Amino acid sequence: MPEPGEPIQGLIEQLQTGSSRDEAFRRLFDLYSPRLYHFFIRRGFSHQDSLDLTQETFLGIYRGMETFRRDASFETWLFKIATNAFRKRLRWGAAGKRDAREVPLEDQDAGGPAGRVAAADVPAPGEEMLRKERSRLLRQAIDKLPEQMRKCLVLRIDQELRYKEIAVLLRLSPETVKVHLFQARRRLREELGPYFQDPLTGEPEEAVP
Amino acid sequence: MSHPEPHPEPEALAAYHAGELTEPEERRLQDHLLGCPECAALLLDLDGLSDPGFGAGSLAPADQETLWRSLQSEIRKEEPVPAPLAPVVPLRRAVSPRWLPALAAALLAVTIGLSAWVVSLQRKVDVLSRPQLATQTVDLYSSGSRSEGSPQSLETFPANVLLLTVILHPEKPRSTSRYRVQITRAGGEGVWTSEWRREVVQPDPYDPIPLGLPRSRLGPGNYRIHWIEETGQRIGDYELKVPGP
Repeated sequence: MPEPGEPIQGLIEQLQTGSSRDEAFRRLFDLYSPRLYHFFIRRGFSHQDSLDLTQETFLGIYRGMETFRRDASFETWLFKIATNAFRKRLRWGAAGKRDAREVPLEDQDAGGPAGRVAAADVPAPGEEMLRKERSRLLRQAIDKLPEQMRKCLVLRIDQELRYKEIAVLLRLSPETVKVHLFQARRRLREELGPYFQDPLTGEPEEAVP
Repeated sequence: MSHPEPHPEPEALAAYHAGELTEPEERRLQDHLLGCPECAALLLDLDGLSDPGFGAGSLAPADQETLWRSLQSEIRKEEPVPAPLAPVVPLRRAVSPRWLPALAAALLAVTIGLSAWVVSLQRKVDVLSRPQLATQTVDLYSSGSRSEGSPQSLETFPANVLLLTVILHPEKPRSTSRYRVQITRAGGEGVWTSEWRREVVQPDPYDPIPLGLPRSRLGPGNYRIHWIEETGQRIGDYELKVPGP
């Protein structure tokens, strides 16, 4: 088994120069096949499709090894081959094979569990109007925030991402994201006053002085 | 979630991750990420691929081994199979027979002859393919209705035109359907006289009539044409100048 943190560049060099080529490729496979498989599973592909795509990606690596620049990032190269492979498969209409639970429509229409829950959750007309108005005011206030602050907040609210993930997506440090979110909350509270409903917790803020 | 913009290419996501995009490109990609959880997750996984813990334990060792064997088999299929060595054939000294130059010269002569024949055939086909102008038409208006004093003239009258069709436009309305046309060359020599009856239910009094004249009767010169009704009334007098071929 490969050692954790084993230098990839050494393996690439062995693969390109032909010295213990098979052994180097096996070690690369052991290192990256679980990550690739996981990468495809996270895209919604089935177990078998994810195995196929992992194999296809490794074939791409094997074929293109001669052209790979050793100073480039191996993971970036892997990502490009893998993403092109799964997008090609999606284009071929293999999307139907993706794991997705199908819910019969009649369950919802005929008062099945989903229908009953929905009926119990229906808010009173006034409540719904108030919710919509709060939501509109909140979006307006968010749009007025400085760009990076707004982006941090939108990713936090809409995609429910963690600080570290937002930091990766916006190429910021997690601390900067934290500060942006803290300041965004404060500004929104000031802007909206009694209408403020914390977008990060969903709780009304009437109790806050 | 559907997103109106096309998803960025993996190369663009990788370049963004590596900080290689310009500021406007970076801003555009960030705006896409805000509304596209799919690309956001993809970018997070690009980051995850560098992490040894990413997907750890997700692939069972047995599946990993099967995958490796399958991959090896695919690679072997693609590797070129060395071609078997061809048996060595001893070289023999090539001997050219004496009649070979004569045969070559004969073939050359035949080739040149055939080429010349093909060229002449092509020329013949070109000539025959040209449209053959066999008739020519001219509209004639009565001398009384024209402001110009000189006779109407054919611009050309090529030798291959066998029939000249003149369209006579009446100067006066016609009242009957029996006519006579007289053609005389300048100087009074009669060339052609024709009589005919036109059967129409309601003749248009200003309807022109076509008149076909054979080339054999029309040498170069000036002609006068008279269109006369059976009652003797003149419907039109025409002048025509026919050039040489």
